Amino acid sequence: MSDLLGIGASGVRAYQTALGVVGENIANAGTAGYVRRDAKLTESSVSYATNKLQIERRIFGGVDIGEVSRNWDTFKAAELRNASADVAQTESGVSWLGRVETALTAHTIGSKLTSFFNAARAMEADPASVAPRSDFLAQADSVATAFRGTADGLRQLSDDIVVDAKGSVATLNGLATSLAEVNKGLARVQQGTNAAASLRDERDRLLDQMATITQISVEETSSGVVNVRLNQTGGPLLVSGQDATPISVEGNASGQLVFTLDPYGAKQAIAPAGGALAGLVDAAARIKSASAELDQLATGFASAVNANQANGVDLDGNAGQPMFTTNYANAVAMPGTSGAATILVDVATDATPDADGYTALWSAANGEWTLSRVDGGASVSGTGTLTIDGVQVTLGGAPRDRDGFTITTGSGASGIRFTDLEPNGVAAASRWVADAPLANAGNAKAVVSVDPEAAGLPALPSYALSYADGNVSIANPTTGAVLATVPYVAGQPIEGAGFTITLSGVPAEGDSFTISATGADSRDNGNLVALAALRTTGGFETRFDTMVNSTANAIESRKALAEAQGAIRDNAVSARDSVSGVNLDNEAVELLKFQQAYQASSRLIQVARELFQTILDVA
Amino acid sequence: MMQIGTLQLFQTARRQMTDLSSEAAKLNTQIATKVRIQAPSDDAVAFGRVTAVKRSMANETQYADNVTMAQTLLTQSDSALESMETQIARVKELALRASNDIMSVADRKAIATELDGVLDAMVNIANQTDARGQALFGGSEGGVPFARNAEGDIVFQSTGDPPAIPISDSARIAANDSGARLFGNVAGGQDMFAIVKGLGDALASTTATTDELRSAIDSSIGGLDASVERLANSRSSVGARAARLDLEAEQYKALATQREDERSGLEDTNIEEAIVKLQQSTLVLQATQASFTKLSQLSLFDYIR
Repeated sequence: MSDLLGIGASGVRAYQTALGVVGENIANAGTAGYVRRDAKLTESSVSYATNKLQIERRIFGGVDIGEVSRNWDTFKAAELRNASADVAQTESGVSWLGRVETALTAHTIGSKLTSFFNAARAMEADPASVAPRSDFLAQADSVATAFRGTADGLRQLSDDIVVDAKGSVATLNGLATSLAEVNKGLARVQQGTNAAASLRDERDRLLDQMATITQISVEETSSGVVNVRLNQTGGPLLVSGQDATPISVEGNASGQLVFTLDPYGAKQAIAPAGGALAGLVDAAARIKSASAELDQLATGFASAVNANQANGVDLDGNAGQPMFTTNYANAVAMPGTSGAATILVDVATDATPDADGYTALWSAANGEWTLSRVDGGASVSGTGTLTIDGVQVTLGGAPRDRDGFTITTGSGASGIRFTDLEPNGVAAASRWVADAPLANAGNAKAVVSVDPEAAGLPALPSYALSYADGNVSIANPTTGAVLATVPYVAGQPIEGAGFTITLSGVPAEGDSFTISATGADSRDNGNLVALAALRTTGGFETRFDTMVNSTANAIESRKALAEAQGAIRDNAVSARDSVSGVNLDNEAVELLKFQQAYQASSRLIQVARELFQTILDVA
Repeated sequence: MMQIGTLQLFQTARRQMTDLSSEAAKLNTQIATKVRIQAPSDDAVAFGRVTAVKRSMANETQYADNVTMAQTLLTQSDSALESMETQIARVKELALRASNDIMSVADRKAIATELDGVLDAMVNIANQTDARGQALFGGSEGGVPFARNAEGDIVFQSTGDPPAIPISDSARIAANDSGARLFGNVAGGQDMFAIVKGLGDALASTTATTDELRSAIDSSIGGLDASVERLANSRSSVGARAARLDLEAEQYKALATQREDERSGLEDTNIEEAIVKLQQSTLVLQATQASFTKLSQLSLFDYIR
């Protein structure tokens, strides 16, 4: 009889707990990371009498509530973590590459280059007027501005990506610390309890979040304590039991992201192989390569246009001056500097000043200026003119102690600047013009081209060429003095002073040619023809298009990849949740089941009481 | 059988509906802006082609402008040469009148004075400025092409040829010619101005014999005939170039339409197609919303009483 009471009591206790577990499941049906729990019911251990004096008989023990178990599949969870890391890597790559794409296209360098070269063609049709020249120079300025704007955009991105990486790393470190705390709890908690299940839920939530930041591999011990390694098995330990090792990230001078494990202890260089951090590494590399390509394009363009200018003659009859500078350095006095200190800054045309800039500081104690890089990489001290990285700084005046200047610099695409040429300053005309009188009976033509190396004739403003007896004689037209006589070979260049003359065709006896240096107000457009040729050979526009296109292609392919990886991740989620997720219909069934069992157990107690009453009534 | 977690059901539905509405939003942007490719990565291949087409359009617009400029210059050259023909014809008429033996010295002098006026008119024609404000018949140098020197001769002060105008990546056209080429070296190394001035000088002379006079007039008539022929040749050369430019201009016009079609086909939204797609995706979205509402209402708890 006491048996029955005990059995009933055990049932009531057990089903109360089971109902509690179902209630917990229902209440947390909407909680992310909650893993469905099961109350394990076991038949209570059956005991046998061991005392020889007692009659051997069976004792029924009723039901026992075993451990509260979680419906968890470690392998499916690991699969999901890997899938999440892949998606996060691709998606962070896509989002940053999208920003690179925007930075590259925002200033429309390509169409500005097209406008520049087309303005040159318009000027070719009207080389001596001011209007087409002004328009051409306005286009030149807007090309330079577009290069600078794009370069600044890319530089901003490479700064931002470091900030983003630092944020992600801080989150990761925070998660690792929390996980170490959870590990501490897991080591102490009694296994198979609701509390243990809660801790494990929290542990798996943390692991899932870590996996989106970087790829991790997880080793679980029997108590549920986990060790987390970066990347694959065998990678460096991020969390080892109750200890978390922080990582740090810095952007280095060449724009790469550098990760260090345990930055304040035993430093170790690491490289995340997956997750958002790996996406950032990819994107940083692309930003860097885009910047480098843009620099190359900008300096290539600027130096080609400058070289073209130098080969021609402007409207005032002078040799063309550069249209662009590709680096600059500007000095600004530091706050509190007395007006008596003076500074002059000059940059060599081929120099690459440091992007972080420089400072110049006067020390009264040493009686000298110190010019140093802001990044601390190098410095020089002295008085008068100091030079560093091709930046020439001439300091003077009467400085007071700690007086100084900040020097900002730029080079490559961010250093390209229009030189404020006047419209007359465009070197549209060739330096030399060849002419043949109408009276020439032959069909020979003379072509002159600029060749700084050539030094065959004395420098004169013009030359008179005449053909006789198979020879060409070159004379000074003012004095009539013959400077040279060479045999006529069609197509063979004759060296002048900084130019070559090429005669071709068949000259008749007595035919003559004149070669004259272009003077002021020339209507010649020969140098613009050379500029048009430069457009084709330099291929600046197509080079820029290629940059944009390769970025666009990279985004397109990553988007497709992200879609595929997203599907894999979704499947992994379904697979895990089909084991771990709470389904309310199932819980309703369980609820009914345990409710009925509870009611039945209560009934058992009542029956036991009634039976006992029967015996009492007999007596 | 796979069990679906309740939370998973909601999350899946949310993701599907988000995807559908972002697809609809994208289509809406494409319709509103009429541009299909919002960023290069929307369609890298098409974007690359659009860039190339737009560049060709920009280049061709410039070349078409240059063609128009060249056409203007050629039209002006033609009318200037026609005026020059009129002047030469007038000179020839005067020369023929002067060749009449019964003319008195005073009559010839009057003709010489008139010739001087014609010469001025010819210089004016040769020195006229073009649509760009430049000398129409100048050489490669700026400034006024023809001027009278101390002896009263008309001399060409420039050298070389005026710059040719680019009308395509590879072709350049000489839209105007140097005065030296047009009016110079007509007969016996003399230019048109020298022929006219020579005639005027001869007629103005009071000492010339009848024979000298006759030979001067005869040689000038030869020169004038050569001038007429030269001007006719020059005009036909100008006409030939103008005809070529007319063709080029037509070609650029046709090409512009073609390029615009090409660009539009690559870059612009196909409105009909986009609207159909939008309707499709909104329909699917509505259906998903409806079915999700139905599905989420299904709960065993509703039946436990």
